[in-house]
Amino acid sequence: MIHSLFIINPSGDVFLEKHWRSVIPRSVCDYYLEAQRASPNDVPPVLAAPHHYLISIQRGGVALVAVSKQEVAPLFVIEFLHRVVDTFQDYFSDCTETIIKENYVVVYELLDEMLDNGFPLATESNILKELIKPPNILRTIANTVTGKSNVSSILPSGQLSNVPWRRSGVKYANNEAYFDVVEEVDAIIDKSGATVSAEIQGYIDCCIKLSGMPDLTLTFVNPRLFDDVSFHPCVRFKRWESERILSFIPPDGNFRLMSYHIGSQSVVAIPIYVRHSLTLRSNGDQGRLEMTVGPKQTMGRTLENVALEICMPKCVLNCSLTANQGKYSYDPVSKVLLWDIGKIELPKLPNIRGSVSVATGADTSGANPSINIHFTIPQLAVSGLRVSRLDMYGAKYKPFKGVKYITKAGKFHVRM
Amino acid sequence: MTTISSYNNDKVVTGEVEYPASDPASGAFFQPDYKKNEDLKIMLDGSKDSLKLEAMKRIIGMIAKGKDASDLFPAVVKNVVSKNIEVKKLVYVYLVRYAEEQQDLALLSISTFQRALKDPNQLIRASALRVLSSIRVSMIVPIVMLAIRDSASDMSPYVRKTAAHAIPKLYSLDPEQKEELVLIIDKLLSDKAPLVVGSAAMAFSEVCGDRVSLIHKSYRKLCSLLADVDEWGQLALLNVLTVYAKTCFPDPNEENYSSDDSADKPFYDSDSSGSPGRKSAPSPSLDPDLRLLLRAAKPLLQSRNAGVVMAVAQLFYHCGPAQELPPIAKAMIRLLRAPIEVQSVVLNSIAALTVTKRSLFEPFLKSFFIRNSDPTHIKLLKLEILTNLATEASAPVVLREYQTYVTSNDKAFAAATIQAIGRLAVAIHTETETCLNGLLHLLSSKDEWVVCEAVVVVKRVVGGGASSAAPAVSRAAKLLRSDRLAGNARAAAVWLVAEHGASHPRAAAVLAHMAAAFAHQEELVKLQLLSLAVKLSITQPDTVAMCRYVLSLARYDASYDVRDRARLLRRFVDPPPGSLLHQYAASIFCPDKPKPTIESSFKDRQQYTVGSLSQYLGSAAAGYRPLPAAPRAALPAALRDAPPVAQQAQHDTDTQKNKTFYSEPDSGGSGSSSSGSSSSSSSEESSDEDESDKEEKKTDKGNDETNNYRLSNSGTSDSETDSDSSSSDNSSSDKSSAESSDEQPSRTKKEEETKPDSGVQQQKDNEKSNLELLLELDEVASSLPTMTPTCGGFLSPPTTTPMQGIGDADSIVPVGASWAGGAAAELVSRVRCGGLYAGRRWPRTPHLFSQRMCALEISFTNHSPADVTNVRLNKKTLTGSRAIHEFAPIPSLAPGASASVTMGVDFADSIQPIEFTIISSLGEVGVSITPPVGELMRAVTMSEARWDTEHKKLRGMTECDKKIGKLEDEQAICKRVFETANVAAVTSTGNLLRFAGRMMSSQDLVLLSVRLEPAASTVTANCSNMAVASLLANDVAQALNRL
Repeated sequence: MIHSLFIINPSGDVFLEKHWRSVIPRSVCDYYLEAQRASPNDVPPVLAAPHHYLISIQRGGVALVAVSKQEVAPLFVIEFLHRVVDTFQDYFSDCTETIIKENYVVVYELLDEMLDNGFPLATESNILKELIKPPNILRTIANTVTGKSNVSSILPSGQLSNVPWRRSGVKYANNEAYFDVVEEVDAIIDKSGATVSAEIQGYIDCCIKLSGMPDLTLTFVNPRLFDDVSFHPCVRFKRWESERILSFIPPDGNFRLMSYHIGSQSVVAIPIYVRHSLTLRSNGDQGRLEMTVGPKQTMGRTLENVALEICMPKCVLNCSLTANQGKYSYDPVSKVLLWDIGKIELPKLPNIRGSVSVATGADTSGANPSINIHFTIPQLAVSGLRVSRLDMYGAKYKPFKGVKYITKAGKFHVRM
Repeated sequence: MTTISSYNNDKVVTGEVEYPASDPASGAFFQPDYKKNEDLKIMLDGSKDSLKLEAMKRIIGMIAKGKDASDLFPAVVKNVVSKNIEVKKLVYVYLVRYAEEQQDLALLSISTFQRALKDPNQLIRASALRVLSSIRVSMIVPIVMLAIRDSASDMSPYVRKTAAHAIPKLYSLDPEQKEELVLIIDKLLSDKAPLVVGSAAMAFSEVCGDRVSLIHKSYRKLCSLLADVDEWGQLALLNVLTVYAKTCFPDPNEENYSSDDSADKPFYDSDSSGSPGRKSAPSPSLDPDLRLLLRAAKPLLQSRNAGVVMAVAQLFYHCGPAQELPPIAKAMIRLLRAPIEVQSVVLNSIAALTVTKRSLFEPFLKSFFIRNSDPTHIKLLKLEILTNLATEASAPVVLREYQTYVTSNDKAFAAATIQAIGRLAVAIHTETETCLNGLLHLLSSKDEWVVCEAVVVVKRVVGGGASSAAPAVSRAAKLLRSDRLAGNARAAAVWLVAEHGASHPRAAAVLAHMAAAFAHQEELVKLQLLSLAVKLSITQPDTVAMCRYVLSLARYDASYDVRDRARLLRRFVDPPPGSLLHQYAASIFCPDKPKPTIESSFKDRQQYTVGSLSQYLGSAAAGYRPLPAAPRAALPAALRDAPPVAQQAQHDTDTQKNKTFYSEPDSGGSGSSSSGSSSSSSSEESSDEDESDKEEKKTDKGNDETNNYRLSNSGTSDSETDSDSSSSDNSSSDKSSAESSDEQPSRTKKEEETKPDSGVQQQKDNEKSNLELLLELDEVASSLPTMTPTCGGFLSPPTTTPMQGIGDADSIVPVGASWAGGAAAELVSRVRCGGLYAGRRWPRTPHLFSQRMCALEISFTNHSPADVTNVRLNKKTLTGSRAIHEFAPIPSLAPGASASVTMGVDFADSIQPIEFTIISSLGEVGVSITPPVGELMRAVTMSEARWDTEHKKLRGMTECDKKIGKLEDEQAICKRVFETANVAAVTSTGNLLRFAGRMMSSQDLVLLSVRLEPAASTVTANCSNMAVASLLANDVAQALNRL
């Protein structure tokens, strides 16, 4: 169980601490800070201090360090910490040091409500929002005038119902339900352009603003595509197993309905290609770089927000390149070449070429830089997934429904 | 003006008139440290809620930043009564933080919480309990205990959940409360609300995780609730159920040959579904209850919560059959898409799993390919997994990947890759050559770092396959001569040459080259050089001179290790005269060495539970409890039968009884209670019960009662279908009928034992109703030591007194009547009802339907010339809480025949007559029965001392005595008393005869005593129901006067 929580900013200051059991001195964080100093981007999530165990996550520039005194499932703690950050983002729209410091009272109240004696009490956003109202200027003014408070004095009805994720008495003038099908392509492309591995990680994120207690069913044209799925607790698993449809009473607001995985066994279309040549001569001090990017298997959609990020070998001092589209920048300290292309409009293929200056006498043989590619393709789910229909039961009005597809690069990686 | 400024001077340090004292929140109070909290105190002492809130917010800010705010405790604690809910909440937060440091002051707030615990608002009740239990002051332990006990039976599930949370808090505060807390946990575990169950499971594993026996009776219910519990509860529940399953079910993979090859031996067939025949059906030997759990847990693999997925994986890996593991692997692969921290933990578990269960993750090989952007520790974990997964078939792919990794910028990762190549070379023989070539290629890399690592690895690999040593040696020799190796690598290279190239012509050249710079070598290299020199001197005798040279160099070395080694080795090169050492030199220095094995560093993490903190760290964490070993044989399934919800539910469900429980596995937990006891399980149960944990006296006792009860039911079905039911196809009924027939002879014997001294025997066994017959059948069948083998025993109210130990002398034990029923009295004369005579008798047996009911036996005799049909009870006139349980209608009564039935009457401890009508084909006739007070009670017995203490409690108004004439014959007195009232004698001394009974409805104790004195005796009755006491005293006195 979680004994204490410390929130640490990037410079290593503990700026918030909360204890659910006896107080643990904040000096215990030194073990974490030590590990962080040793390798800032590579802190193991679980650290063992002499009498404590530190389990940490890093998000939004802050690190949340949970301290436990005894055996506890690490994933339980990690998952909870992520849920804490999600809640903060839900309340304050972001989770940074300044925002937490501005709202420490609400943060403290939230933490107190989310965890009791180190065991989660209420983590559903709908329930928490009824218990502790999210701060906004309008309400702050209203409260000062009327003397009301942000804290509810009655138990949210959701807590006791069998749909704890939905708050009761929801009312909207416009009833809307939006679904975003987001697919991320994770791929490794080797030197010769062959695909080493490719997978699709998909999400269906919803924004549902429907009055009453709607019961929705979402049907897919081709549900067989999914390799493996995980659901929001609201989805009825039995119906998914038997009929392959998503049947659920949604939470109010934004949430992730399901995430799915289309694995390395199935064939995944790779919507982009990069032709590259990089020569670094060890004797001279100049090398050449040339790259061309083009669309592939995009089913007629355009690639947008294309950006390439190349981690150059240590020996590269600088680059002087010319791009026929977009801008490039090179950071000589981190050795990262960033080429921001934007939209690819056929038939013109974005191209960048030029020379790179290499430190004299450096060994260049073993260097193998790699390219990380970012792109988005609107109106396309690269797996071919399609929503067939959305039906609503249990409410009389006609909601406005919308589905949006988008494909993005996940960890899209090209070896040079 | 002056008044204002002087007022300010008191409280405001700045002393400036411009800042009115009435607005302390304005932020003008940034004062020197020594008075920094004065303003907050003023704000808290004020009456305005908004100021208090502002002050509390600032205080919470101080706590959040870790500043000490304890000196404000007195000011804050006052506001615990604040009406403003937000102020109150913040005060709670403060209180929980500082109560431990300010124990005395914290006690001031306790009464507020005690009051809040009674609040009609469930949120307020719950938060009061939360705060009260979070105040870590040992003085309030009894109060918290009481609060938890009350809240555990609160109406609101939310409050009960909070109670479950409070249990570990109290336990950590005072571990001595464990036993009492365990009782509450037991209760909460059998709660029906999903909200509560998860927290109860958490409390269970925190407080008494080893008491698996607590789970038995709610196991099936927990399984069926699993899906409805919130995700954190699921996690806790899965952990508890995993321990339970491991403890109670034998390992499903043990006798199952199909799983063996994939579990133990490396499974080279990459397609794990290659054996369709085995996979098609789950192994038949799987315990149905384990199957229930696995089926309930499997959908949770689709949870969005990685912790839950891992908990399911843990359950399946440790308790499930091997052929059901592939879905687990798939779900774990899905988690690799989660945030980096989750990935790290999951990869760690996979790495440990792949050591033995390689085939599980083989299809997902590509998911572990490494990206440059991964953090180093993730890269290393993936590398470990890739190496574990590589088979002859997949090795080329893996090696190609490794080629890319070797050139990585990340040094630690590149080094690990080289190590991994070495492991592959040793593990997969077809690839040894390829790997070695690759490694040798690396030896000529320009990166020194790579070279050094490679040499070390080559040394290990070559140790494995001597055939491929020659090229390695020559490459190493070349490297040594070019002086490009660092310490460790150089030592390894020298070793390589010495070990495998002692006969190589180049070896001497290497030695010569190195000897030239001997003094500048590192210590490790020098030691290796010495052994190279000696070995060379053995295999190539012409190098002895060089060897001597090296030895003499070493003799004056700075390091004592080197000098010692040189002195030792010199004996082999220049043997002293007469020494035999030289002859054995060859077998000492150049023996055949066994192959080295390179194992995964994750091998020892296997011993830890999958996904636990200990597994991640590779060492047992504090509080880590290893899963117990699986038992050889399954615990009897009957242990998990839920106790019956209502007793009458069983009564009318004879039809369902022969259906086995498992025919409907879905009805598992909650639904099962209604008819969960098939006759088979109940008959097994009684025999298992003896073995069950003695330490769980309470629960066991509870079970005993119900078990016996069920036994009687199964008996019913048997005898109703005629006692010879061996032809029935149901094996279970065979069993119980066998049992009952076995017991038949012993039954009478036992009866004699139990009632040896009651002079009156039961006259007419054959006239007894079926029900009664069975009752007695049953009481004999229960051969349990905990039971008194009399009628009174098994229906004794469970709530009466806390059941204590079996041999406890101080308990009140129900016993059978000392005198079973007098002669029948006329109820309906034959004249009144056209020839149907009805007589009644008080058999003094407990009534089956309810323990509050008094059994009344009615015997009908048909004196009319024709058959009387359908004799039944018709109208009953009842008042208050009185109740009648009708007798079974008599379908027909032949002329001259008679039949008796038993009905149950709850008189509610009053002697008011009850009225009802009996209807038959001859018409309806009204009946009124006035019970004698002596029939309203049931005999109990207790120790004399107990009797006396109970007697003391019932003095005064509740005592009633009557004078009677002189009496002497104790025997006769007892007989009269027994005839008058259903009481039992308590072993007595002196001239006081003691008797005890218990009222049927109210369970009040009734004490009766007769004092024998020379002049006149006295009858005294004590009962908290005064009317009963006086009536009883009168009745007994009258009866005794007749003597």
